[in-house]
Amino acid sequence: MSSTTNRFRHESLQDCQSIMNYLTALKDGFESGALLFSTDGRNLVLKPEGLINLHVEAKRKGEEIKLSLKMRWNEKKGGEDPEDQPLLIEPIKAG
Amino acid sequence: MPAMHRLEEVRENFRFIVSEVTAQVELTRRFYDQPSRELMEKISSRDDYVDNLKSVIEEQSFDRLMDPRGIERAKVVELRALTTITANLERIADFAVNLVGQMGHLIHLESSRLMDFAPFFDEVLVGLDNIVAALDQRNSNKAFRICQCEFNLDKLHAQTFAKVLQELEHNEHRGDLVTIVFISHYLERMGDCLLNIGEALIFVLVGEKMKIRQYQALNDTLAASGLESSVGQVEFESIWGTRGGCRIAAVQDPRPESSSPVLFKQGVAKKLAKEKENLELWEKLAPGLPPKVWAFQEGEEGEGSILLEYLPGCTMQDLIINGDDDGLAVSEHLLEATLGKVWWATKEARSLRPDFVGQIRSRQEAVYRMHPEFQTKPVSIGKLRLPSFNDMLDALEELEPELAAPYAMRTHGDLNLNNVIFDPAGQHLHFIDLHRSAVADCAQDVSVFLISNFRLPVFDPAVRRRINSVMGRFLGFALDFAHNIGDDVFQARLALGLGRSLFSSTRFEMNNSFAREMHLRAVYLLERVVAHRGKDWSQFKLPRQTLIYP
Repeated sequence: MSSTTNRFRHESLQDCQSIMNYLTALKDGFESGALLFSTDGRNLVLKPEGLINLHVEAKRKGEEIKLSLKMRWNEKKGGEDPEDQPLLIEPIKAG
Repeated sequence: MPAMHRLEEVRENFRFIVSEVTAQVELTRRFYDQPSRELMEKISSRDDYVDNLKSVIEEQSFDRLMDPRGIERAKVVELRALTTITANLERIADFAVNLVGQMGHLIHLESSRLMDFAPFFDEVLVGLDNIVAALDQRNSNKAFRICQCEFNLDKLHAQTFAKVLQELEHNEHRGDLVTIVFISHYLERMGDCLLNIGEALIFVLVGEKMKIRQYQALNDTLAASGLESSVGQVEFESIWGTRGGCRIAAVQDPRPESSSPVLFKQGVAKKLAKEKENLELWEKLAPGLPPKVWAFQEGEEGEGSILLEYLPGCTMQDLIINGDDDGLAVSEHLLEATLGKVWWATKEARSLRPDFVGQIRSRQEAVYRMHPEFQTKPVSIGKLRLPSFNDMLDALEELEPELAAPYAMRTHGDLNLNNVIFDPAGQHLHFIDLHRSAVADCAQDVSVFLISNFRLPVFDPAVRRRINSVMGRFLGFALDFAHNIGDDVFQARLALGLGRSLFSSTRFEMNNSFAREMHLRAVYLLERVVAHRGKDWSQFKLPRQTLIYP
């Protein structure tokens, strides 16, 4: 039985070669439009779309190196395509 | 001038305070089973009585110490210990009151499974129960049992803490969870007091101040060097429990012409007989390497005892931690020379199927008890499927026969840094704790030795560099040896052995982040072996960076 979850975390050690499996899995997910994360039968499906904020950060602190990739986007509700919506400009209300 | 109090009066009040504090803890335990206002009031009112008793004991002790007629040293030692113990008993009683107070902050979780503090109370009560007996019977075994409470309580606290952290993810009663951590922490602090009490008792019984950082470490030291030399000089008949179920003590050599202490071990006769056999076997292989066996006796009901030579020197672990670079270099050289010689001389061609997976499985329960978060479930990320730890073990078990060792040889069986002793005066090396020695795969000894370096919970950069270089050199030696005898699946088998040792070492490691580091490295090593499945094993390269920390 599978159920859904809103959170997925996984930590492991990899090397330059084995890490490619993870990066490829993510790349494939973006290409196909759906990223599946699953642990213990609990699934988290993300469907990246629209604008994705990509934050790349690399830093060196002594011998410790950190490279982080963070992607953020909003999931649209109700399946409306923002392309179809007219742009509205409303006056700012005083107060 | 106040009346002179006899030591006996202090002792009597001391017995009162022990039983009073024991009763407080028992009442608190009952309160946790069934809270009531009545019990709560009873506990807080009795606390005053404990405080009074403490003042009385202190006053009587100081009066006695000020006796103008003087006082024997042994009595000074005892009075000093009694006041130290009393102060710690009073703190335990205070914590009992705090524990009762904490219950008031719990709103929702009274019946939660997290609320099982019975094992904590049991442990505290075992400690309290042994105090008077240790003193009256002059029994240091009981004093050590009290010290051990601290480590057992620390472990229980770590487990509760881990459970609460897990629970925080989905339990909405976060306030209650924080309270549970406080409760567990108060119980753990009772353990700190018990350790102080145990140490004070040892001071009385042994006449030496011993700081017991960790019971396990103490056992290791004892097993390694007999005893601290200062303690070894005095006639000493106390008995310690050890990991192997034997009791050990250093005693004066009974032969009048000799004044050097010997090591006395008591335990299951069959096991000690095996140790004796192994020691004699090693003596033939490498004269002077193991301690000499002076006597062996089989008693009634399967009990036995053995008298061993007391070996002077320090363990390789001491050399690494204390930074004795010259001693370390010589000991490393002697270790390689000894192992090379013994392995080469005893190797027999035979195919030995490794059983590292079986060894991992047999340790899983103990590891997960300490670190429940290490139990992993299968994970997928898109098309990438990552098996659970158990599924990975199944895969490894299937391929293990392909990694059979081509030779069996005489192994130490527990070649950790604490079981190798270096005598700087004579520039000799010794092996101790040879009861697990067997004709087996040398990858066993190699992986145990390497990980006994890695797992040292020392994070000082200079020591860590020393650890890394000792491991690097020893690994180089082992790979050369394997290459020379034509063991071309050695690296893959060693990866399994190292994974096994890293995994099982986490059960003694309470520092969660260091334990996680070891666990991740174990998984990484095992995954590399699985990933090599179907390829030529002689091409497998052990990822050396796994052994370098940080």
